[in-house]
Amino acid sequence: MSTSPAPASFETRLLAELRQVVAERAAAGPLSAAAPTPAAPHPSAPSPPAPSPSAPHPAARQAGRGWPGRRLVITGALSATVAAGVAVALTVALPDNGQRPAGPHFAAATTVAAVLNNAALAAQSEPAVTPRPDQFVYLKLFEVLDYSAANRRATAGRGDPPLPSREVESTESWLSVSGTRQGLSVQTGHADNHPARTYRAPEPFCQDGVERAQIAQNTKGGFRGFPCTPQQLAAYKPWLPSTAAGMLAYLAHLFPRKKNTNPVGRAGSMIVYAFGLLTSTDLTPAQQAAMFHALAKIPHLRIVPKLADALGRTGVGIRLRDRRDSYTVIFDPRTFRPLGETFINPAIAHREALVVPATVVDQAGQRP
Amino acid sequence: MTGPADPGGTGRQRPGPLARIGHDPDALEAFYTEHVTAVTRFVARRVADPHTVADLTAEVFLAVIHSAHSYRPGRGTPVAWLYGIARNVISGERRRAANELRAASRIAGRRLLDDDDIARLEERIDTESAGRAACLALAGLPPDERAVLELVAVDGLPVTDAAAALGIRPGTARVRLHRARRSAQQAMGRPAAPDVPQEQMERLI
Repeated sequence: MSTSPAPASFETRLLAELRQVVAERAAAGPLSAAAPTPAAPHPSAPSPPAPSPSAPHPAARQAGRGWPGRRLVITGALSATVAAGVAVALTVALPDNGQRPAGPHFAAATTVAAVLNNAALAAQSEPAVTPRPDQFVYLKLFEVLDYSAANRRATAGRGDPPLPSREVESTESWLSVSGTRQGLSVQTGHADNHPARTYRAPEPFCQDGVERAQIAQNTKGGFRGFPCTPQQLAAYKPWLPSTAAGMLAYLAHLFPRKKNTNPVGRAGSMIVYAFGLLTSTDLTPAQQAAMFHALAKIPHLRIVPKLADALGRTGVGIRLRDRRDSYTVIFDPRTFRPLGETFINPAIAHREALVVPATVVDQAGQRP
Repeated sequence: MTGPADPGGTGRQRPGPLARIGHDPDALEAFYTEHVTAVTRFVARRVADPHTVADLTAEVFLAVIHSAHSYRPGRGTPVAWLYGIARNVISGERRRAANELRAASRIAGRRLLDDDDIARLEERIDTESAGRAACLALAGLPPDERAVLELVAVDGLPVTDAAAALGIRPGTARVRLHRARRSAQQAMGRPAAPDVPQEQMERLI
């Protein structure tokens, strides 16, 4: 590649962070230095270098989301949560659809405010269960990624048949309640008609102020060297605000309004982050209700009376459009618990469903 | 499928100085300084969002750090190796790149980029728009052919470097390049890809 001096600013800061990564690797010794390479190209095994975020606290990972050698196992809203600087975790379990014997009295879901208020009522009606620090939160997601629109565009007018390009993935995650025990993610997926592949990866934990995770069973192993606090990696965060005003201030603090900031983009960042927390962190019922009420104050949201999630479940949506992108959170129209989310633009459609929204279990790998 | 290229034909390959990148910050800095602009441009030819460009640039160098020990001079130049990594990072992003992942990237990038960075990256993204359009125009080609043509025609790599970046033999790369150009020529006769500048399309063939 061409020689060129690194300009100031972002490149300079990135260099400082990368130097730190290298220094930490050197300090960690030969195991780390011998970490598996994800990037060596080979035509018959095009394994992506699959960066996987986990606790985005270190700037290097905020920048790169990357821990090469692992496949990205936490996706969607989880990614947003993770990339934004908060450890992954999960919510209390949702009731089976339509199985609620008796619940709060919901208003007609005809406005954004009504849907979010119903969601807050539903959250508050859940029992507050305090998990033990040694437990894990289990979550299962199902995703469908459809790139066929991009392919149609690429072949438009040529008379070529559209290229099939669809990816289906199912991910189970176990995340430490306290952030101090190693968790696990297992992802099974396939693209088009290719055979399914399964990836297993540890979820990191924080020990002695350093984020750790054995990279994989079948490698020489290694440890991450990023600084952390257990709170960042904790799946249960009782210290987050539990009032609507507090939660809104928290979101506004994370995404400050700046000169030249696109207000719709900022609202989008806030809502993506918020639903990442709601679906991937064991927020208390009060925190969840606070979050829904806070979201009701975010402008630019529209209601979508009826749409389907990745599993074909029909719900009512709250949508934010930013230029060509459209992000929608889907709620169960009877229980008003989140069903999933979609992210669609003219090229790509990504639909994600919460299959098992969240359950506390005793061990990583244990299903509820 | 062919195996990894071994142009030297010796079969014996020793780690080069690049191996130091993984544990020597100064070695990393030298490599980074030499290549960061090219990597950013490579990414900007494929991604149009400044935060994602910043994220992927960081990701490429993280991958470099973690895989530097695997570099073997006999398999190609450092540049070819770097492009191979960059390509894998981006294809990983594409495969995964559903939009909330992009949203996540924007959030992540937001912490790293100030307004000046964004303006500068947007300028770079604009500069590379023809390359992005060309990459899109090639999307209809068979993936193996497209990969070679992208690296050669859009990124300007010599065929041998493109072959090394893709982990294929140079002869294989030339065959694929020939086929890809033929496909691109056929495509040019059709009203496809109207947003690709004619000049860029001509470079492709």
